[in-house]
Amino acid sequence: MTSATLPPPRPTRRLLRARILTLIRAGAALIVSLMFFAPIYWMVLTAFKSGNEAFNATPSLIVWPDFGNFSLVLTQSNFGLALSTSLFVATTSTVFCLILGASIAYPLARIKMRGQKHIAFWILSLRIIPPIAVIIPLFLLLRSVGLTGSIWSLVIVYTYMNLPLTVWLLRGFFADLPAEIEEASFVDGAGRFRTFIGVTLPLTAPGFIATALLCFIFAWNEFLFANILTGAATRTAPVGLTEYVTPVSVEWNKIMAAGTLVVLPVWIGALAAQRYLVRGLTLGAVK
Amino acid sequence: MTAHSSIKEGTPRVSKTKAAGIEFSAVNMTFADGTTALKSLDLVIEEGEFVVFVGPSGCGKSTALRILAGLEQATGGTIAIKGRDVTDLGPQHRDIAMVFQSYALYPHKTVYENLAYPLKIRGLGKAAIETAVAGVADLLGLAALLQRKPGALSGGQRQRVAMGRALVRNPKAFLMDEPLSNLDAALRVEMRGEIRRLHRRLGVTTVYVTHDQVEAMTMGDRVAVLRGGELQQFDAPQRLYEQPANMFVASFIGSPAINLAMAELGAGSAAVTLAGNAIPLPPSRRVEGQSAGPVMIGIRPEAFSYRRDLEHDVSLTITPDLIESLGAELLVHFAIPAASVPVALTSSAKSAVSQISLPGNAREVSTRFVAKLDARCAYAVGQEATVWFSTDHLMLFEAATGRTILASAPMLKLPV
Repeated sequence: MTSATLPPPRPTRRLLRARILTLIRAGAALIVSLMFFAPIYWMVLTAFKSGNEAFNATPSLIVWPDFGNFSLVLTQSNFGLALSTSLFVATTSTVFCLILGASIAYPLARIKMRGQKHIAFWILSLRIIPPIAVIIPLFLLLRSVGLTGSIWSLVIVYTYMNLPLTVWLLRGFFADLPAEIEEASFVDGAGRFRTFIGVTLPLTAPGFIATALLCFIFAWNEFLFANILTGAATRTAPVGLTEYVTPVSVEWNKIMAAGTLVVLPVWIGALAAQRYLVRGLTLGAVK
Repeated sequence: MTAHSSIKEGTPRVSKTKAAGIEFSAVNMTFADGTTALKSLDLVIEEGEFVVFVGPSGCGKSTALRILAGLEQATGGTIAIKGRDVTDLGPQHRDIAMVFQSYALYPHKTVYENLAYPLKIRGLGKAAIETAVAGVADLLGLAALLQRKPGALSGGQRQRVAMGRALVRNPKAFLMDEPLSNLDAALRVEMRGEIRRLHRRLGVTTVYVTHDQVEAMTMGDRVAVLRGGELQQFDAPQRLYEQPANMFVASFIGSPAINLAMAELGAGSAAVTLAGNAIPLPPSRRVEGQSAGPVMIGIRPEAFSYRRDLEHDVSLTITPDLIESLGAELLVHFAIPAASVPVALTSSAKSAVSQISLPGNAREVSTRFVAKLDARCAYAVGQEATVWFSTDHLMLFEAATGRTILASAPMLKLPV
C-alpha cells in the first residue's frame, strides 16, 4: 500500500477538543477586551462630536472627526494650565517617591536587622487607610503650614500616598537582585553608594520604571485630594474636567475631549514603558 | 550584611609572623539566629601560598572566606592581610579579589566592562585599562568575547570572565568560593590545572574554598579541613592523607573512603585485634594516650595488595561480594566481622560526639571494607581470597574522640 492511497488524516478527538477550547478562550478574551475598550472608545468618539450630536438619543458609532472640541478646551478655558499643573505635580511627586522609596527600600532589602518584616508590613499598612479618612486632618495640617491652594500640597500628599507602594515594590526588586553581584562590586573596590549607582540601579531599572509609572498614574488621575487642596489657579486636570458641569448644562463633548487629553499622556507612557512594565512586575519570578 | 560605617585607619598591627600573607586569629562567628559558624579559628597562611578550605557543607569554610573578604563581620577575633589588621575594614578597602560560585558577573556590562570595572573604580586611565584588560583577555582566551554580555556566554566562559575580573588588578590575595562547582566534570579538571598554573605564575596568596576533597588534594599547597566550624587539621595534602589528625580527616580525605572498624587494642599496645585477627604493631610506631581497650582502626583501600611482599606482610582472608573494575585496578568489596564505627565521628555535624555509645557485642557485627587491588589479582565474587596490607599504613583512633593515637610510621625508603 502506498501512502498516496491513504485518506487525509482526520483530526483526532483530542485535537478537536483543543481547538474548541482555543476558540472559547479567544472569544472570552475578545469580550473582556471589548468591555474595557468600550468606555474609552465612547469617550474618544464623543470628544469628536458636536454638542447636539453628543446628546442624540440614538448615538452614532462612527463620527467624522472634528477637532473643534479640543481647540475649544485648550484655548477657551484653563484646561491647558490644569494639564501642565498635573504634569508638574505627577512628575515631581513620582521623582520624590522614587528617591525616598529607594532609600527606604534598599536598606530594608539588604541589611539584616530585627523586625524587618514588621517594618515592611507597617509601611504597607499605611496604604490600607482609605484616603477619605485622612483628608480632614491632612487639610488642617496643610492649612496650618499655609500650603492649601499651593501645588506643593499635592506634591507632598501624592508622595505620601505613593511612598508605601513604592517602598514595597522597590524592596521586592532589590531583594530579587542576587546579593553576590553587589558583593562582587564591593570586593572590586566600590563602596555602597558607587555600587548602588553603577550596579544596583541599572539592574533594577525595569522595576524603577514600572514603579514610576504606577506612581505617575495615581498622581495624574487623583481627584479627591486635588479637588479639596487646590485653588482655581492650581487645579489639576481631573478637577478641571468638572468645570464643564455647570448648573445650566453638562457639556459632554468638551468633558470627553478634555478626558481624552487626560488619558493620552498616560496611555502613551504606558505603551512606551510596556516592555519594562511587564519585565519589572515579573522581575525575579524567573531567574 | 552589615554596613561598614566606621572604617578604622588606625596604626596597622604588624603580625608576629613576617611571612604571613593572611592571618586568622581566634576568629569566631555566631549568626544572629544563634548558629555558630566558626569557633576560634587560628590559621596562618604564608605569603604566596595556595590554601584550600575544605569540609562538608555547613563546616564554616565559606563563612571563613566571606569574613576574610569583609563581606561578613566576625563576632570575635582579628584578620590580618600582609601584616595589616583588616578586621574593621570593608571589602572595598582590603585589596583582595574574589571569584564567586555564581560568578556574580555584572549582567548589564559587556565582558570588557566587567573586566575593566575594578580598574575604573581605582581611577586608572583609559589606556592603562585597555592594556590590562587586553592582557587578561589574552591570558584567559577571552579576546574574542570582549563585546559580549555575560548572558551570551557559556558556563565555562563566564567562569573565565570571573577569573579575569579577579586577575586584572594586582590584589594582595585571591579568594575563590567554589569557583568550579558549576562546571561539568571535564571542564572542572581542565580549569583546576589552569588555576594552579596561574597561581604558580602570579605567586599571589590564594584561598580556595571547596567541598570536593579531590579538588582540595590536587590544588592546595596546604589544606585546611574544617568541620562544624572547627579546624581539624591544616597540612599538606599528602600529610592529610598519610597522617590524619583524627578519624574525621581520615574519612573525609581519600576516595574511595578509608575503611574503618572497631578493634581491640591489646595490653601494652603490642597488637590490635581486628575481627579476630591479631595484628602486631611495629615497635617503631608508638600508641599515645591509650594502652588497651576498644579503638577504631583505619586502613585505606590503597593500602591493600593481592600479594605478599616486603611492605605488605599482614594478611586478611576475605570473600569478595562485589568487584568493580576501574581498568587498571579493581575495587574489591567485602564484609569483615567487626563493629562499625560510630557515625557521629565521621559525619559532618560535630554534635553529640560526647554521647557516643559504642556498639555492643550482642549486635550482629559486620562492616563493609573496600580494597583497591591491581587488576591482575583476578579475584572473583564469592571466592575466598587473601589480601595483604602493611602495619605501616594502619591507623588507630581513640574510641571516644576519634583522635589519632598511633604515631605515624617513619618514612621508609623501600628497595626498588
